[in-house]
Amino acid sequence: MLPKKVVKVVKLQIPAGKATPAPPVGPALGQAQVGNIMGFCKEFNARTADQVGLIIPVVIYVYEDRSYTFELKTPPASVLLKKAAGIESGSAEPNRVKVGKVTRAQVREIAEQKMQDLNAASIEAAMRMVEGTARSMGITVVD
Amino acid sequence: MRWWHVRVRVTHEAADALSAVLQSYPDVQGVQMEGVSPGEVRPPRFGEWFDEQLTPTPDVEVSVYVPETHDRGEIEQRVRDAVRRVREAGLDPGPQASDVRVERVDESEWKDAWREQYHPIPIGRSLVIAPVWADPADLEPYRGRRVIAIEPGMAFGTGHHQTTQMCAEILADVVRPGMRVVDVGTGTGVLAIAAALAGAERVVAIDLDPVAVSAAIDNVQKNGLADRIDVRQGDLLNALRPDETFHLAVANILRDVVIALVPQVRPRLVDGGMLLTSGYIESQREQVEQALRHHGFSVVRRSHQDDWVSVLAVKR
Repeated sequence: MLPKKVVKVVKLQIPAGKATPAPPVGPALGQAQVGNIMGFCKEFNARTADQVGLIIPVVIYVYEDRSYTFELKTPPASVLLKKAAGIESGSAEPNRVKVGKVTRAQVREIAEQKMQDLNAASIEAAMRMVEGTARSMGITVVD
Repeated sequence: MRWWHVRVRVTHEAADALSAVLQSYPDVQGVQMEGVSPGEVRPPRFGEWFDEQLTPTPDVEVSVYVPETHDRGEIEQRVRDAVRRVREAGLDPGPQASDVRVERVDESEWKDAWREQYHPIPIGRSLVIAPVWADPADLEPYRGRRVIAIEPGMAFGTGHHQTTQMCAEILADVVRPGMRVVDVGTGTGVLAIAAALAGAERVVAIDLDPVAVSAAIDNVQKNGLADRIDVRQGDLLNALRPDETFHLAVANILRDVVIALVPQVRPRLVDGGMLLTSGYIESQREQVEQALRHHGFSVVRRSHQDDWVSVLAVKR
């Protein structure tokens, strides 16, 4: 098979098992001129059937002939933080209302899990990003 | 339907946190991120290569869509609040984060984008699925086959998908004149139409999604089959009348939905009736077959295309 040229990379974070042609999937793939939006939804939903309830990041590689492949990533740090803190949702006022706690060890664990996706130069940098996400959700990081 | 497309550019560092805050707002179904980070993982398969435009970018554009019914000013404020939260959490969103862009977009902009790439698709030996706008010249190579004309619209079942093709082919093989068929999760109605063309006397086509129901009604009419295909809105089989039974049920949906359907459909099938399922991948097949065996079905045929599977089972 000849190597195919990737002309566009589309990155989405969408609920597992629930992709539809509504935004953001429809416009994102439409702009990339991917014809088969429905096909993407069906395949994404089948491949994420075990993770319903989670937000899944997906990277879609669009080729010159407008065909595509996609790669599923681990859930975003925010989702892993909610799991670690045992909470359903983040705080609407993270400065005033704290909704949960995670330990620095848990932050490190999440940072290690997300290292590849976070584009951090070091584990410390990744931990800083995860801690920032935690604070923006009203989750306190404790030692 | 119209939407507000809201965009903001932030640093790679802040992108994940910002999208988490935006996702927590009501009516946001997901986030799109545009931008390539230097450490980005390369594509999954050997042999692909990138266009020059895909070199790393200094920042990421994070965007969300909100239904137009929301107030524009309120949305801008929400996004500014989200950026502030990220900044207060110790992450640097970068200099461009204060520039929140909001524009109105119409669904038609992406809904029809793929029309030009939609071509007739031959199925097995006897069928061809074609868009309703297909030129007779496009159908010339398939002369002699029965044509399923589909307006794909926004519903599942365009004929492009491997599972649709496998199911349509199996239906063409096993449906006999006079049979009663139920198509659960009909989408565009493509499989209901395939069953009717194969000779089914009566087909009930069901979908939960009102968009699919209206697309299916439209397609059934365009194929001149409104007297034999009855399209209904409902959850799995709850739209059936208590006395309705079938010779064959087809469900091309998702593993979990198919598994939930198996016990419900059994009493709706005549003795020796068939259940055709698809919409799941090979690694999920055993779970479906387990449910089939558990509820008194025998698997009689399996089809594979790429990683996708279709399984035909018979009621014991």
